[in-house]
Amino acid sequence: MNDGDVVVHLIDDDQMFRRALAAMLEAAGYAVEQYASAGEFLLQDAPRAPGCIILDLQMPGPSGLELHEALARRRDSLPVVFLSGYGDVPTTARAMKTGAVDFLTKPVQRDMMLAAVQAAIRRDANRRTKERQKREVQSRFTSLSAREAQIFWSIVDGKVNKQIARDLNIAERTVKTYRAQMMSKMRARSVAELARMATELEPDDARSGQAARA
Amino acid sequence: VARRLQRCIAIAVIGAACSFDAAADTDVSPRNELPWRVLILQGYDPWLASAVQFEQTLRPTLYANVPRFVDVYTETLDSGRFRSSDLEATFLALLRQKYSHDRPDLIIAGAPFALDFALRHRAELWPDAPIVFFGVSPRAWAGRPRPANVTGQLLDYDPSKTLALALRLSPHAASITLIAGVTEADKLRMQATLAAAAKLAPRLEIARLDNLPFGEMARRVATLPRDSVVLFLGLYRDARGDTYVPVHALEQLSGVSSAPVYGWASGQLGHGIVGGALTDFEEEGRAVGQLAADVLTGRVSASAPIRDPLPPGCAVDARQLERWDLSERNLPTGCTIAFRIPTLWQTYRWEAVTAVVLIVLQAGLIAGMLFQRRQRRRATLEVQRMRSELSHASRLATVGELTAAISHEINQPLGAVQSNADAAEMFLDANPPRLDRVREVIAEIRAANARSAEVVRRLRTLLKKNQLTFQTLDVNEVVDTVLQLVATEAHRRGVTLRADLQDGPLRIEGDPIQLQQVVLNLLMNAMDAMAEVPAVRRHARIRTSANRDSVSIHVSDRGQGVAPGDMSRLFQSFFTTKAQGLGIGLSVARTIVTAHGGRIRVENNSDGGATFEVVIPKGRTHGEVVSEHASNTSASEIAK
Repeated sequence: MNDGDVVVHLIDDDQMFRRALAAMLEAAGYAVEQYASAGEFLLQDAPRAPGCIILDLQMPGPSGLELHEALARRRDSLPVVFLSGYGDVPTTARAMKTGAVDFLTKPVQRDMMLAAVQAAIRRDANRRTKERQKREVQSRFTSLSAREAQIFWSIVDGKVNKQIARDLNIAERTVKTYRAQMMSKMRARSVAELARMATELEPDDARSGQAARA
Repeated sequence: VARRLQRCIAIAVIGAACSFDAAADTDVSPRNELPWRVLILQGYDPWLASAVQFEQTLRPTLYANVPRFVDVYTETLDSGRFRSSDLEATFLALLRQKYSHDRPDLIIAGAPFALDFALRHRAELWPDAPIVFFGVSPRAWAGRPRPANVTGQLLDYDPSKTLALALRLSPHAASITLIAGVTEADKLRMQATLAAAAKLAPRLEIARLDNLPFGEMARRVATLPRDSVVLFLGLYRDARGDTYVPVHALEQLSGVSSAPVYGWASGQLGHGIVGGALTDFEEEGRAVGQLAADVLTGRVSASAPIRDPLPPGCAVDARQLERWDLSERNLPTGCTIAFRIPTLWQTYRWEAVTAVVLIVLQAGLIAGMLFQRRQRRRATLEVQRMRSELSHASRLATVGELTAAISHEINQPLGAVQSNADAAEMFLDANPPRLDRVREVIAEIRAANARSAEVVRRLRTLLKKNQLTFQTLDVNEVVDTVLQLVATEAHRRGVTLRADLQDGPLRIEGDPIQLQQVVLNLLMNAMDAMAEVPAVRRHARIRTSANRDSVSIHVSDRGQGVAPGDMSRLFQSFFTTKAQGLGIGLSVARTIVTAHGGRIRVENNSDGGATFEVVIPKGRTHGEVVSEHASNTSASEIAK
């Protein structure tokens, strides 16, 4: 029912509980990787496969929250579902603030667990789609010539061709040609679509664009 | 004789002088007069028991009742052993020579034979002296003419009372055996006895052992049937003509007799007879002595009526009663029991009383001490119970603090069970069902269940109310158990616990649960001490080590340490520096350690925090003294 590429990373120091949860998740069709501590997980290369992390909050060494905060700083961090033996309000609040998908207390209900894992995986999938789109836009953007990039930012800024021609001190006809080429390279059908793409550009790209604009 | 004469004259002269003096001096002294002379004329051997008894009381009675000095002479005819009629002339001549000058003032003559002699020769020997007789039976007296100036005390021989006593003591007696010699007196008693027996017990068989040599008598007496009774009537001479001292003969015969022997004279008592209605010759002597004194002083006329016989007295020998197994209950009332074997009580009465008093005093003392001991023991038990209550309360409090950690401990395996059950269900629902995984998962469930049960068990053991029970235990095991209990709590509080346990079992004698409590209290205390310090510094360390004859446990923390002013009060009850503390943890720890004969102390570390050291001896040195000390400690603590 789930595709095999998805991996659930289960981090809990309690071996017995960890194995039980892993068995349940495997029964549900997930591939499960188990870690006895947050450190063990961090030592691994950042997982490439889609999936999620299930993290116990009560563990020796760096606590689950600390690990999560570390993970959140990584670019491609996996969504995290928290587990806790005792879900006190401050901990829960802090966990949710760092972007946890869900916060479950032990013993966990199967449906809630699976729902949380599914939600996490969906979030991961969404993120991955967005990342892909973002990378696509960026690669299109980088394929633009300097003049085309200037025209991109000018259009995003809402300028009309005449205005652009005056700004760039070129003929309006020339602007139209560059604009057609740029729209084709960016595969944008409308100015609105172009504007949305602009938001996906990284600040660096934006800056370079700004620089080009300036 | 000449010398005696001279002395008599001398006495007479002095007496005359004295009487002359007395004429001038009215103060009359007995010595101033001539002494009265009294002659006792015995018919038999004067050393016969009855004769000895008789004279022993007669003489003092006489002396005491006469105001003048009395000279008493005794002569004997000994007619039992000698043929006195042959000797009479010679004896008479002797008496004549002895008493012709110093004539007796009174004759006391015993037994008919002597009385007859005295009367016969009265006119020649002592014409003026009155005669007092004794030892004459009423029957012997009855046939005589009453001579003048003669009075006396009759002596009755009445065998019927003795016979009655014998039959009373031996109610099933079938025969009566009579022992007697061949003298006149013996024969008279035999006749009287036969008559009495015929009247008293006509159906009983009568065996006579009188006309026999002594040896034959002894032989026959030794083979008598047990159900017979024997009467010893007297034995001065046997059929062979041998003479005997009757009591000696009696002793020999009763010694070999196979049946109880009875007698009739008080002198026989103690010489083998069971008893009888006994003529008391001491009484006879007293009565005759009194009569003689009265006649001598003129208080009683020498022609006064003859005195009736004195009644015989019932007397028995306790030793013989016992020998023949005769019951004292069958004795008639008023019967004297002589020679009663003194009981231990009679012999050792004072020793026994003293011993009993001592024993009673001692027993009282012991009882008092036992009572005191029991009181003390009860008090000790009460203190122990209170201490146990307190330590139980302390454990409850500690476990209360651990609640979150413990619920986590139990929750964890419960969560595993839950997930495993879910997994099992899903593996079963898969197509095809993954039974191998189901089996694995069930094994996991079982393990998780065991784990939660173990947590509950540990908890229950710790919370159980228990008395101090000593057993051999491993200190490392105690520490391990507690570490498992507090591990979760330590993690919850962000405290890192480090255990350095010396290898090998560290065995001591102790109560495992109480020692768990000590370790638990110290670890909780260490964690409490670090509540305010930064997380990186929250390290607690527990260390065990064996010394030569003790085991040490060190618990260190890196908290604030103990303020110098608090050091001395740290182990007191209800002293606490914590906001929520009860202040009993450390005091209970100390009480327990003390009860184990050990000690506990605290020291601040040089690099911050404090170290608690518990030292417990390996051997079981806790004893009365130690536990008492512990009781006192906890008692005073409770009192505070």
